[in-house]
Amino acid sequence: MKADLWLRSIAGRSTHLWDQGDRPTCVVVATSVAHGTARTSPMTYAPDALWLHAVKAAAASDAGTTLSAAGAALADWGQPPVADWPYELPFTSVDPPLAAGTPPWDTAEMRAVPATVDNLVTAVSLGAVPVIVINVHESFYLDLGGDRLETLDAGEAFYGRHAVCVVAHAVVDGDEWFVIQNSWGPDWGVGGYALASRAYLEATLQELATVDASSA
Amino acid sequence: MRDSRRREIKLAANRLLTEVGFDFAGPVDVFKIIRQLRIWLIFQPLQNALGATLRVGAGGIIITTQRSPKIQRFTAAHELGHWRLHRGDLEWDTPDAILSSLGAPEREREAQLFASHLLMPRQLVRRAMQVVGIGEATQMTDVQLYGVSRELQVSYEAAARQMQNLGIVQPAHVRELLKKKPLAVKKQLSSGVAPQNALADVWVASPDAHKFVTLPGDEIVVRLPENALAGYRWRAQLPSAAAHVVTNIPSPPHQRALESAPGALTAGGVGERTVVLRTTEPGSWQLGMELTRSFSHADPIDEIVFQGTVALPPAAANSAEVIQQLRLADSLDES
Repeated sequence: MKADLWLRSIAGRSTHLWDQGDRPTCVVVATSVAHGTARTSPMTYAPDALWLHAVKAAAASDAGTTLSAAGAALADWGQPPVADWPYELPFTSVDPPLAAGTPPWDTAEMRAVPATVDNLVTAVSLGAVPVIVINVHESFYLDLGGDRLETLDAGEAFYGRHAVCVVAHAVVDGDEWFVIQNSWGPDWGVGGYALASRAYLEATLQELATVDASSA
Repeated sequence: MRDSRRREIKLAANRLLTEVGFDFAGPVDVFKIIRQLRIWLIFQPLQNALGATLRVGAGGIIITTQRSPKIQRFTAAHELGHWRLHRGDLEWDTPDAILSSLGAPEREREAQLFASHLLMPRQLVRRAMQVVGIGEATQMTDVQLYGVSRELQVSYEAAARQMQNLGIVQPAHVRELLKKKPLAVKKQLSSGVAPQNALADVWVASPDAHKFVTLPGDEIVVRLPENALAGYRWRAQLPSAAAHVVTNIPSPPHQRALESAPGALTAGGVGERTVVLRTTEPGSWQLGMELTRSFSHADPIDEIVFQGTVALPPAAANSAEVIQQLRLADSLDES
């Protein structure tokens, strides 16, 4: 199968693709995806449970939040289904909504892994959907309707650190590709997904974490 | 200079503003005042003088074309000072006579004081301070003083001296402010990049300050919060020959370690977009900023429009005015 067809088949299976809107919530959205897919029966969890926990811990702001803050929220409060706590645009809650009840909800453990592409391959091959933090440059925006992040050119404008999920990995036609699930809605890449090469991730990967819900 | 003489000079400048019906709505148009007084105004490439006043015949004022518009304005006001305060057929003013605060002859210092009060009457200075957002003058910063000078279209030093003349800022504070060079302030406003023309002004745009009247070469700095890590970036559109974009760069969010988890940096967050325009030629421009996802056809989630007029430099504006008057006179003759 060609890489683009493979990507389209994965994007087509998506049950819930996030659009974080203009909120700085990529970490909690990506963590929610990783948590939801770690369950025996996949769930769509409420990112705002993690965000509110991080806000109360003074670990979330206009500068975003950290994977460790999201991990602490996941272990402490966990998450209710998004149906009980719809994503807020803009975010206004000071407490969980009545429909969500009170924490703890479904908790899980987030594990930081040394951020190497080999560790990412291992995590995906074990069936996990890892959260990665990457450095975002101009080419990440896929302005020209492209479906892949192949190389990082020297001198590209730098925008900062961004969290996404990796939902698949394969060698296609001799090239190694990863499928990134972003949180910028369906217009990015192919239905919200894009291919990333090993070289691209080696140049941009900053952090890697997996979510384990087996003890829950 | 005696205090009574200083008061006389201030009154003479204020009287002239009243005489010409100045409305205190913007900077004093000293060249227009000269024309209103029916004094011939000529711009010439003088090499060793900034200006001259000639009282022979119909008389007139000559201003050099070789200096910045701000110096030309101050020179014109200085020559008007001679016209209103002094006698004599010819005043030929060197840079020292017009700009030096120390060692200049008494009549030159009088003309300097007249120029300061004409271009910077108290009411206009207060208005400029309001525009710049100065609450307490004792705390005035170099950036704020530069803002006042830019609003009044005078030099940084001239504004500082007049603040002292008016008793708004104490002499010691003025001395402190004058240690900073205006170019350094402009660089500070423009994120460390000096304007291409060191004499040009740097304006800072915001949603509260989105209309500008500038001269060619002036630069306008637009900084807007940008959530690029949510996919949203500002797109700049500037369909005009009167200005062009010289800088358009993102700044990442201040992603940092948290006290609760040293070593771990935040991800996501709101950064900033910096766009710098340089005005090029007289005319008008409009900068449309749209916050949009470049990979999507969805409508922008925010839009801001900045507008500006690039005025003619003083010599060209004067020529245009004279030509217009001659045409008007010609048409009246024909009718």
